[in-house]
Amino acid sequence: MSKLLNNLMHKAISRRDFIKGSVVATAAVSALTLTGCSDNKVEETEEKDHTPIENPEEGGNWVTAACWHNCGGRCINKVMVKEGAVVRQKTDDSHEDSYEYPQQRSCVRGHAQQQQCFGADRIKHPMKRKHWEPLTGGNKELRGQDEWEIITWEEAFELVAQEFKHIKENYGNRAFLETGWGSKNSAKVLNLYGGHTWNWDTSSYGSYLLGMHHLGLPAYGQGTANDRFDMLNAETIVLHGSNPAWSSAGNPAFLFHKAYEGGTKFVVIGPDYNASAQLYDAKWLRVRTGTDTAFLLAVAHEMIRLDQAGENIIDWDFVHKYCVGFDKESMPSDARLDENFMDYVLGKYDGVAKTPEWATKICGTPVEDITWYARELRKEKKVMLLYTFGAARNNGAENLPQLLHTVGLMGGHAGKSGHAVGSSYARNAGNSGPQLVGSGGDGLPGVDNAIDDAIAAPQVWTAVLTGKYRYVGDCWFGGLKEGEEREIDIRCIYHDASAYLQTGVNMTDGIKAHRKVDFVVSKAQFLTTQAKYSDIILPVTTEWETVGGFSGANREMVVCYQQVTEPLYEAKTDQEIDKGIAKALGLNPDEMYPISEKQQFFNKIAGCWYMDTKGEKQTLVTITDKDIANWECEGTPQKGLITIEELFANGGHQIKREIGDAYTCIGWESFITNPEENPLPSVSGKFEIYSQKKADELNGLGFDQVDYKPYPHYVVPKVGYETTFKDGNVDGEKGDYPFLLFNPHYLRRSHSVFDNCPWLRETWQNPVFLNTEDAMKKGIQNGDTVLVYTPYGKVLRQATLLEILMPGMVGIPHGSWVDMDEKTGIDRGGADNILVGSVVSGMGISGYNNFNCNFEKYDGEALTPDHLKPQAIFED
Amino acid sequence: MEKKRELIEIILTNRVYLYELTHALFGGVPNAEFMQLMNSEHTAFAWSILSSEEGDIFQQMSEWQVDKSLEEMKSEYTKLLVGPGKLKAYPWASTYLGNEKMLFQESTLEVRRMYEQYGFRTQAFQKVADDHLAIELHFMAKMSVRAKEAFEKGDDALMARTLEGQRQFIKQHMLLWLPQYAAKLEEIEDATIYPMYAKALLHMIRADKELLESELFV
Repeated sequence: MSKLLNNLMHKAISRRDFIKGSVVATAAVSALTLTGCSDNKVEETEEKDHTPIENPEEGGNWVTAACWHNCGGRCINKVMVKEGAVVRQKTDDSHEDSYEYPQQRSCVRGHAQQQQCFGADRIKHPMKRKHWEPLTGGNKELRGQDEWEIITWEEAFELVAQEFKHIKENYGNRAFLETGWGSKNSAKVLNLYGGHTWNWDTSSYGSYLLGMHHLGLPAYGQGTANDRFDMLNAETIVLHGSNPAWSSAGNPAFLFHKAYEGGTKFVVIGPDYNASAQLYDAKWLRVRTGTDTAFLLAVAHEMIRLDQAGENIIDWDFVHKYCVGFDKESMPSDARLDENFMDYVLGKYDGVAKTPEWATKICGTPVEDITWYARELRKEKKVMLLYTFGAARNNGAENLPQLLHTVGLMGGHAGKSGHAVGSSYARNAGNSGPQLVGSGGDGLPGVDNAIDDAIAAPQVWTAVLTGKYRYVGDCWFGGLKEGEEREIDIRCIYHDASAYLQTGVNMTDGIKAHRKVDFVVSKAQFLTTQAKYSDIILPVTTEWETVGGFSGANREMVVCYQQVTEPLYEAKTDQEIDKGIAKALGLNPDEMYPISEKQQFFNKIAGCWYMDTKGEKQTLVTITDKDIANWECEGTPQKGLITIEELFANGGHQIKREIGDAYTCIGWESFITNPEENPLPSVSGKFEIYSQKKADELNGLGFDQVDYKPYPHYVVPKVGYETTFKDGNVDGEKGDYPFLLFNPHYLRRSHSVFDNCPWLRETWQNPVFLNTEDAMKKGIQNGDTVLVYTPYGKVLRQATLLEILMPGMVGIPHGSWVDMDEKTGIDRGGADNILVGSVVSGMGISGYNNFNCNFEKYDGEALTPDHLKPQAIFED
Repeated sequence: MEKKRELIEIILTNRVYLYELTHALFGGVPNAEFMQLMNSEHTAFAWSILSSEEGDIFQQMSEWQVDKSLEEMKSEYTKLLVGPGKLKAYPWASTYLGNEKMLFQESTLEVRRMYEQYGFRTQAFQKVADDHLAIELHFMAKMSVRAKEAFEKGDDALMARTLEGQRQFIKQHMLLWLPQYAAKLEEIEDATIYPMYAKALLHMIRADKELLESELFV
């Protein structure tokens, strides 16, 4: 007999009293209504036999799962769902894989997507900061450090509405701020309520957001390179500031590799010999981060010099026929300044010829490499000069887009097979051309934002803190305008659609701003940085919990995803939350969302289109009366190429390509063939190496006193390589922040998303990239904890020493979440934007890639790689 | 014989209460009524029934009063069992039984099957992970009620089947992860109440298994 039983048998327990007491106590405990407890109950249902599962796949269904992030790629992700759990995962297997018709295979982040939806750290209930007080915020310094309490959705909606009403009535709609890359149209419910102040950021595009049409380029400089098959015809492919292997997951790296296999030579330009450079055995032209303008001016100089020396470098016919402003004889009619690009490069105006010897002091590129590149760009060579925007995300990069195209066009590299100058960005990397397939619209009305206050990113937090900013229009919607000083009194920050506190510049000031305003509310799936500094958190679903939808992919593909599971715990969709707030404000939610989310999805399916071989848009999806009845949606039958079932089974639709097909395209071909009939969108209709509009636009902003020229010229950045020296003298002594900081993107995160996924944490550490020699001088070894600091903040990261990084460069891979040690003021999370400041100049570029920093070995508590977990121990 | 029946009745009654109580303990934000119950004489006695030697945890529990204010209890509960943010000890079995700190895993479906075998499922089906500690305790509480009622009705077969189901659930499931959870809680520096209760719960489940496997029920 067990000791316990033996003991029990010898205890004197009065049966009657005990049973009576138990009944009373049990009734009391059963009657409790504890907050959060309704989630934690079982109820009676039918009994089912429990047979051991021999095949875990039995009863599972494959569905295409959303992979919707701003990651640089777009692929097919399929999961096997069984009773709300994901038990298997795969990628595109809708057809055999080939180069011409490739599968759209997903990357490590897509494979880790289930850790986002089903992560144990999901926020499961609406939460309120414990010491928050209505209308004043209470002790606002506690934001980011306070405890939390569960609240109901009803309470959450009421509290948010009460704050919004108070702020609107007392301070007006300008007092609301919703941040993001261009947040005019987000925070829909605030727009319905009269609008909100918003901000704009040059974000990924940097200076390519400066009126590209003035130069003759498409928006963001995107879409002038050639079809992917034409890359096979190039002799040289230049990847300028580009690393598709890391930044364009999915097929792009493979598409480039096909050209490499065919004998195309690769050149990679940037501060490191990156993964793509290694993959294609590229020649590396080293250029310090943020100094590409100096480098390219010297390349232009060498092209002119070599040409004048009798080498056949510049395509003069091309430059004179398709461009304006290269030399005296090709000036545009609206020019007000009697200066041209060639004479500037040769030093006629400022007495400084832009020679390789001049440039190398700034960009660090060996003189002979600059000359080599000038020769490589000669007109007879088939060269594709492809760029991404990393080099444009720098303070002082205003002239880069115009200059990069000028250099490419000097060699005549446009409008013909094997030649190109154009972007090769994100999911369109190595695959330029018009979209061939897409989805329809959702059928929702727009809700306009009545407030025109748009704050440039480097000013947004200082505007909150000081009440002042300089209004210059914006880069995303209405365009830049003549600048004017404005006063602003921000009282509420609403984080609706973007992770801006984490991904925008100067998080240190951002945190201060969050601790200043009266009210902060965030939608969140996890305790993200901005949720952490909020008063109220509204748990929002992931895309896996919505009815389904579409995401645009490369030009040949549209992805259609389905619902994976029900909204988990108390999470609501964005639209449900917006509606709840609207109702609590006494507004009509139907003005935002007159139709259901399912109907919106149905509308998108019905509106799907594809381009036929004649270049005409055709209906993609067949819809029958039966479909309409099954979906319980409004619609009309239509005849298309595929059924809804096929759309779902394939995860969308992909155009079958083959070499030489009708979809093959050459960038700018129509303009080159007939420039009169197909002019570019500039004033002259040509590419403007001299653009009066560009100069006028920049000079009107008033962020600095620089005299911007109509042609590309060198401007010493307010912060950049020069400021790493005392007094800005590149021949002199180094200053207190002698290193240049840049933010490479890698596969652990998509901006800040996925940072908390254990699989990705294990696969990719959270390093700081240091040049080996620089690190050794400071006694730093691989894996050491390093303190990196700028005038804006301090972070810790673990050292990765690289021979393939130029000396003087410090790479902080983008996007890790802040973990501020309030005592030391050091961010143990290693957030890049704690380091990146808010210097405003030129067009207001967020200088993510050329701030100045210093670093040292950290003496305090070392960082532990966060994926390390103790081993599981089991009990019999 | 009568003595044996009486003892069975006491045990069956007591386990209903303790499973209901621990379900509430780990299942929701505490309130004043709950605190009163935790510190009540009956609760002290309910723990003491499981004691088998001088000074063991059940005796300790019978003398232990929660000395924290309700506010502190709420705060500790929210920090340890709600979040937001990374919990220092996850209350879901799947995070211990697999390699991933994720919910809705294959092991979660196994737990769902164990519930279904006895005709239970989560109230918020497919919205909440089935293997949260408090849900498992609620399942145990409902099963305990069923066993007690079967006993009262003299339905020995139902009682035996139900108790065997509970014994298996403890042996094949709860004891595979609860020790780790309790150990994790104990490592947390600024928590005092829940780690103690988790430890007591673990011992309670072990004691329950011991009784279910004793000659009283076999």
